[in-house]
Amino acid sequence: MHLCVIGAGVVGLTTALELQREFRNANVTILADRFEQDTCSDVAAGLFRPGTSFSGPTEEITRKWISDAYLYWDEIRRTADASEAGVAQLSAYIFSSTDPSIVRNRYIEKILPVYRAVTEQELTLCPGDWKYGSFYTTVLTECRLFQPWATKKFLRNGGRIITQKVESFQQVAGQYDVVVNCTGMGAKKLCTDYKLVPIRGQVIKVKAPWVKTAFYADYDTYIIPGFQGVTLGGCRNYDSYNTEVCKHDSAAIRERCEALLPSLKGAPVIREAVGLRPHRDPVRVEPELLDLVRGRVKVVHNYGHGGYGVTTSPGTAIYATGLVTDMLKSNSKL
Amino acid sequence: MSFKDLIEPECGGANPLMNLGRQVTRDVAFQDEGFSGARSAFIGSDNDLVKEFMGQIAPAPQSFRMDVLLKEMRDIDAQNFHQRQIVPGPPVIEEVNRSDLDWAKEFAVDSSAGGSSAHHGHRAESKLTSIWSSSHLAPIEGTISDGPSNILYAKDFFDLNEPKSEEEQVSIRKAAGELVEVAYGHDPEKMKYSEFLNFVGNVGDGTVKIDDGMVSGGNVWASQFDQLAAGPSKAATKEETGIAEDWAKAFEEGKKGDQEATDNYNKQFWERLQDEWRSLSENDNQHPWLSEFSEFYDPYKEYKFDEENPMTNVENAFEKGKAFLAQGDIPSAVLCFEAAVKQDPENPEIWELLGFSQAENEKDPNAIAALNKALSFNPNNMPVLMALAVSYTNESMQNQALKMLVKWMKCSPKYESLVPPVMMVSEESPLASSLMGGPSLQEVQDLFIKAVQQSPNEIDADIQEALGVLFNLSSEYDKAVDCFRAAVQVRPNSSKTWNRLGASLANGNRSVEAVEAYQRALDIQPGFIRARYNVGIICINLKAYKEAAEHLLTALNHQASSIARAGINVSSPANQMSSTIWTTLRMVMSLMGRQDLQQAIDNRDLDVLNREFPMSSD
Repeated sequence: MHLCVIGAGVVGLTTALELQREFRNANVTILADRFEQDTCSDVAAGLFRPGTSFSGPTEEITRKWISDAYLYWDEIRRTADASEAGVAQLSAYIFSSTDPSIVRNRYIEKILPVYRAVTEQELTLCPGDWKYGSFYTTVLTECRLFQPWATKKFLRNGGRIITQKVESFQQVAGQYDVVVNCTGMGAKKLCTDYKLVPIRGQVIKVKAPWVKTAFYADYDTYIIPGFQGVTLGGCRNYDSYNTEVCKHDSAAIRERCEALLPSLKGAPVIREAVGLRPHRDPVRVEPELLDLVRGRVKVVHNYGHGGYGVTTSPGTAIYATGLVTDMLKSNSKL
Repeated sequence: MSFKDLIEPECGGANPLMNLGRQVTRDVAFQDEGFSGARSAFIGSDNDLVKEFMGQIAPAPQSFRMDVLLKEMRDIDAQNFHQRQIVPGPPVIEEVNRSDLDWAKEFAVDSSAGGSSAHHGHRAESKLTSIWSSSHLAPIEGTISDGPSNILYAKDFFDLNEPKSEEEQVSIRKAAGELVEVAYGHDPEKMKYSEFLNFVGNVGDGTVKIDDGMVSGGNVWASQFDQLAAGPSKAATKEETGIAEDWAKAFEEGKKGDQEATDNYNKQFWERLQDEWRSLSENDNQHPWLSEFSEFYDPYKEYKFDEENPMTNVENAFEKGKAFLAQGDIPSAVLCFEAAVKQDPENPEIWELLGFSQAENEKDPNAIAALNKALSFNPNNMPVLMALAVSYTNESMQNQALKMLVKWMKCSPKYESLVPPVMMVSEESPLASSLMGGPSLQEVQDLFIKAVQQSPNEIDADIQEALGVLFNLSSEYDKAVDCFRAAVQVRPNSSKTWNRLGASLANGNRSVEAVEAYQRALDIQPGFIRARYNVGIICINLKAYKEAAEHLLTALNHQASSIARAGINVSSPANQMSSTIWTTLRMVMSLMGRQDLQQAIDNRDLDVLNREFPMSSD
């Protein structure tokens, strides 16, 4: 049996691994033109925190994705592989000076081991007039480590990676039993999907090893310590295709983060990066049967995770694999 | 099982009994003060025991079902006890009673004798803590229902040193009293065997008072401790109450999430286990050991009956079943055969028919099990071997399918000479075959082609069908179609053959012709579930999702209503329906964008789906 995954970001990699797990004797191939540091996943801080607007086709399915994803990351976190895979536990504060609902998160309050309101004293941890806050303990995945680790695992399991830009499903017709489309922003062209919107994000990764907790302030400002530096962010520019680092955003991010955590002043910059979050509402994880000139193609789409790709990719990978199973089972019976 | 309960130390109570423990045990680090005389022996030798008992509110998981007990407590705290009975509580305590009776007796004897040392340090220790933990759970229900909110108890948790108000004293007493009552319930005799419970009983009576960590009152053991208890603990401050309230609230809310998350985890874990198991059965050997496994692995060995088929005394179930078959009502026939086979499990004929029918009922796993059972009575049953080959093919178990076909040929007097000895050997000795692997697809194809060539002037329908199956396996669908067309010429009234022709056409993307073939099959046998299912597949291929759903639902309805027609009771009608059909229906819903119906599908709720896709009943 031959299965194919298009796209090698965190969504593509987790999906490929999941397919290998489910179909032990199948040949899984990844087709992609951008890998590891060229992917959007590389920019992400990788904190497990799905936004409250994140949505799948139904509320139940969305919640299942999120809880499956958490269990997946937590499982890796508990093994000896965790340091190589770049998965670790991290606690975070989120403060707001305006709205208590900003600090709540209906998706993860019941899933994380800790998600509680902060005390009066904790509100004074950071300079600023913070009125509401939450403290939670969650998981972080450093893609700079996870992507190579996942790639290695995939290849060790007998997978194959081919560098190829897939511009149309014609290119894969007739060769695979099922194709899983994890192309993120690429799906805009590949599937002519107008609902896919890039949300531009910019971050600065600095060296500040004394920061051990993550901080979010009113959402736009965040400080997230990872394995290879602290991610300072950010911005969310809807429908922006600009992939260049903008110095004004940089200055704004720096200023806001230093206001929140003055110790960051002077922290040396490791790198600055821009990513276009592939946002879609709802996230598209569904089957499709394509009738093309070269034949029929069975496709399962798995894209549109927006700013929550690292967070939810395992959950959607598991769901997508279920769809692949259904598709494979549904054959004419002799 | 809640992992958190086991891993994290119990950080305390939302109930006065825990509070009770705290009151009494505030200082763990009492010294062996070297009391002289009999008492010291008691104290000294049981030092560890008491320390252990006093110091820990959260003993390590014991052999008694700690996880259940702790989880119980949390459930109770969430005031959701309407969801879970406290039923397990008392029985466990009784268990504890029984098994600890001796120990408790000795313990009591020791203290009253005041001299003979208890030699049961560790054993007693652990059992005591178990008693402690198991006992304290029972009366929680009572105390919660009293009304004071849990916040009060959390507050108590922090306020260890506050002088006890009268109200709190009362609640402690009440809790203690209830503990005794529930723990030893209706057998006050047993009470005297436990010093601890005696003590608690006294608290309940008011003979022993607990006040600000000090125990005052009559009990020997308690007053000893009183003397030993040293020093103050840190004072709790007012600020802690605020935190405690939030914490307690959050704690309760968190529990529900826990439950879901761990249920989820458990489910996932088991599903993964099952999936691993199932996927291991796929063919395409990569490892010799794996190939042996895939050759001999058969997940459908045992026929799984519907849990209860109480109409086992339906007379002539077998005859009834055959009658249904003649009418073309496959699901009812299947039900009858299942009943018949339960009455008469050694009858190969019934197993055979059951197997054939289940395949036509679109339940290949059941078919395989039944056919294998029939085979066990008569290993050379050719129709059964052929049917098995087909079912294995549908389930993508290529190796097994090939084996069946080779066996089939070996049993045929006409063709057995064609089977090369190599293949024959692999049948006989499992050991040899693990080295050589099973016959390859190409080999078996060549074998059957030779068989065809043996008699070029007449069409052997069986050979043609076998070849058709083989060409499906190698994805040479046009050749398969040719084979089945030939077979259908010989057997124009075999709905099965028409169905196979249709399936081969469908696999080769010749949808329109496929529909015609399926129509012929359904004309011959209107209750041919498999053919109906295949029509649904065609609709999916043609993107007619609504029609596909309707056909699939028709098949499911037919299966579900078979119970009424056959007149046989089953406890879970859902089992009469085919999983394959449900799986495909789920996919159709996804393709249609109707994920809102996914829940209904997971629940196999035909009513909801029938409402969504109304069809005129036929």
